Amino acid sequence: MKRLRVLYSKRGLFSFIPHTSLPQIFASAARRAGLSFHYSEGFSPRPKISLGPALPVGVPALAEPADFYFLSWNDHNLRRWKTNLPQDLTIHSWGAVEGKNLSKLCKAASYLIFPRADIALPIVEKTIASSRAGELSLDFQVRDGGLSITLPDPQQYGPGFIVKILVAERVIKDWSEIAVIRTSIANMVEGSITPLL
Amino acid sequence: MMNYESFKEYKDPLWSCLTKVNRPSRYVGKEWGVDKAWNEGSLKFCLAFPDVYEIGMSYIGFQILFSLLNSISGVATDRVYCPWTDMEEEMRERSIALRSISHKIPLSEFDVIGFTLQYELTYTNILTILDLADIPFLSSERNDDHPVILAGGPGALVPAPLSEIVDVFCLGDGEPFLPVFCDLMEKTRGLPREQRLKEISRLPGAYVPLLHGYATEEDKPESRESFPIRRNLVKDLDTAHYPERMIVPNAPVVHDRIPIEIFRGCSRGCRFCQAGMIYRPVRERSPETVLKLMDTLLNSTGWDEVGLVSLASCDYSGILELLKRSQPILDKYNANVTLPSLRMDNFSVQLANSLESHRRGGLTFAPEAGTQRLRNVINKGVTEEDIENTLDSVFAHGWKRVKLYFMMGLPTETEEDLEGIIDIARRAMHIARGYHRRSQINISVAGFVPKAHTPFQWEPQDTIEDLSRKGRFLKSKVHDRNISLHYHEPDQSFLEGVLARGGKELSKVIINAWERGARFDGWTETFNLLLWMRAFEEEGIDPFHIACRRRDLDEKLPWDNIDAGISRSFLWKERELSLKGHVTPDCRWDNCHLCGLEKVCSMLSSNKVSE
Repeated sequence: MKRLRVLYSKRGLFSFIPHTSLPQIFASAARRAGLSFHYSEGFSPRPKISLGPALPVGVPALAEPADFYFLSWNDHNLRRWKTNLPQDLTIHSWGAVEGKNLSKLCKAASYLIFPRADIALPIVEKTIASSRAGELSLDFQVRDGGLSITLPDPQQYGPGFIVKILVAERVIKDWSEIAVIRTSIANMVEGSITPLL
Repeated sequence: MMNYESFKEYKDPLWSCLTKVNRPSRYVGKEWGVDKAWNEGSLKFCLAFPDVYEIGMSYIGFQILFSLLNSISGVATDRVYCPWTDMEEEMRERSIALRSISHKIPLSEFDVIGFTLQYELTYTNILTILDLADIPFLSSERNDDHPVILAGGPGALVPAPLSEIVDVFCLGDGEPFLPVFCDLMEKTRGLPREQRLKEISRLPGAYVPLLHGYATEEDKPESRESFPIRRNLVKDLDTAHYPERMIVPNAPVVHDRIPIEIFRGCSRGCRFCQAGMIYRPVRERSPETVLKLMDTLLNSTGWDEVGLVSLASCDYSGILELLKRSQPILDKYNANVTLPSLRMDNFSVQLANSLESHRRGGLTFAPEAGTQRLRNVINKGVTEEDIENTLDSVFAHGWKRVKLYFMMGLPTETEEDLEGIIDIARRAMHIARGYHRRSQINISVAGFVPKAHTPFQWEPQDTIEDLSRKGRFLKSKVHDRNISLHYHEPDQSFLEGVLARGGKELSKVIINAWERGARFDGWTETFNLLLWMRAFEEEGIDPFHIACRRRDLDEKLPWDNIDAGISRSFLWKERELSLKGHVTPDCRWDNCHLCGLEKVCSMLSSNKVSE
């Protein structure tokens, strides 16, 4: 059994495919590419796959991590796997990993936030800066017409957390008035952000 | 750096809608297996499923037809499913027209929209799809610029209720029809609509109501001679088209697996069953073809489960051999196989036991009626002994959950028959307790809906009051908390019955009900009989007269213009035998009963022999 970590992106309308469907989508693409999984033990064995922190539907993502437990792989299989994925789900990089489970390594996540419709950026910026999200943020910048924010603990402080603040403060009505993109997920080692791959 | 412009997805007109609706994945598309390049110059064909995505994607017919259409050069194929009410609302609010799921082409730009009619209670969804595409409802109101509206599936054999809406009904199997139809559409491109429809109306198995007229009216004397129109039939499934690649959905669907149709048709002869009549004769795909498809499809789709699909898969001749020979292929892909539609006999249980995948949940059987007398009436060849033995075998093999399907309101039914349902449930529980401390029996009771082209097509359907009373009676008899009993909504069974046997006057009613807000009538959360009753009233139609009345042998029936293959005299003879409680054995293991397909049958068997 070998563990492979990949970083993938979810773009376009594919962002509306639920997080929970991804293991099956990756698995069937891997089978089409001739990769063999290590199966979980138990009553109904499944390919062993761990995804990063859940992402709500409607949030494009640029570099989400996922770990796959294969019996073996080679470059040829992996390249075929890439081409066997549905459109707008793309694997960008991969590497063999060992050690802690992925769920224990996702300690921070970065987001880009752009107001949509007629919502003004300064009010979005001010609201977030003066909220719990602003307090928690590891990095907070205004640039290129949007906000860039890095928050700890993506399990707890995900895109829903940000949108909830903006809705509670009546800056936006709902998800349709804001664009939230998750750009990366990282580990924190001794207080500094460390890439997962 | 990246700015808002880097994220083109937000420019997609669907984006904002999708942030607001339930299950947005229904509208995304982007599935694996849709790989034919979209060529603008092609004949554009949209397969339309008048229900939600997750049901439509589980329908084997569209996998076959999508692949078949794509195999025709010069044809570009896409699909559409009916938007749920929340999505419909969002689209209307934003004036977004309905587009096909993969290539996002406006529906109105297609040359053909082909609906499948699987279930009467999806008919209003057809109108939702047409309306969101800005296509007029009535065939007579569409012009040269509008797509041709085609409809196939079992509902096409009872076309009257949709006959003012649909342009062309494709009767019977789609495989022989679609290639010639597409060819003709291509050849008549640019001609006036009426002329095109005229050409199409000459194709075997095509029914064009606008030109052919209707069964119960004499307004088109020149087309009389073309009635009844015979349904098309695939003679040999081994040479018929079958996909080697399939569309693999991204979101969870009802049946998430490779469907392989192992045979078409069923000759068990259950007298209530429309499918058992209209898909005759039985045509099997050879084990060699099935095994080859299994290997090819496991490789090309990446699915890890194969469903061997048919109306009664355990009846496949040589099923054991097929399963045995499947094993090395399944092992190669770490996949398993499922057999839907188990019969109530020991053989089926042994089979299920040999399939690892069945171990997960419980088993489902359909005794259909509670007493031997009534099972004889409906020709369900299952004996008391079969039921006992099957249940014993199920629990002995370790299953703890069993689901049993029954019907209420069958012809000649008495209280004793209803009590028989409860009795079977109790006996099942008694047997279960002999093996396990905890077990669960689930009973599902549907209201019987008499269907066209069956021996019960002349029979009255129970009224809503009757079915409600019977449902409550059954529920009141269940006192064991490990037995659960659920019965179908009688209001829905009633409407299904009206749409199943009504005439062309129903087109107006369906439109009227849709305009009042009828949507997804097959779903209890959206169904509203009141809207329909108002529509019936306004159109001056008595729905009870359609559903709850006994018909005479010599009454002209709205589907008399359709020849489904089985003869009227056979159906009437079966009805007579039924009322006497006489059974008719399966003709695969008995004499030919001259159902009307004997010529086709003998031709098929002589073909097989000569091979």
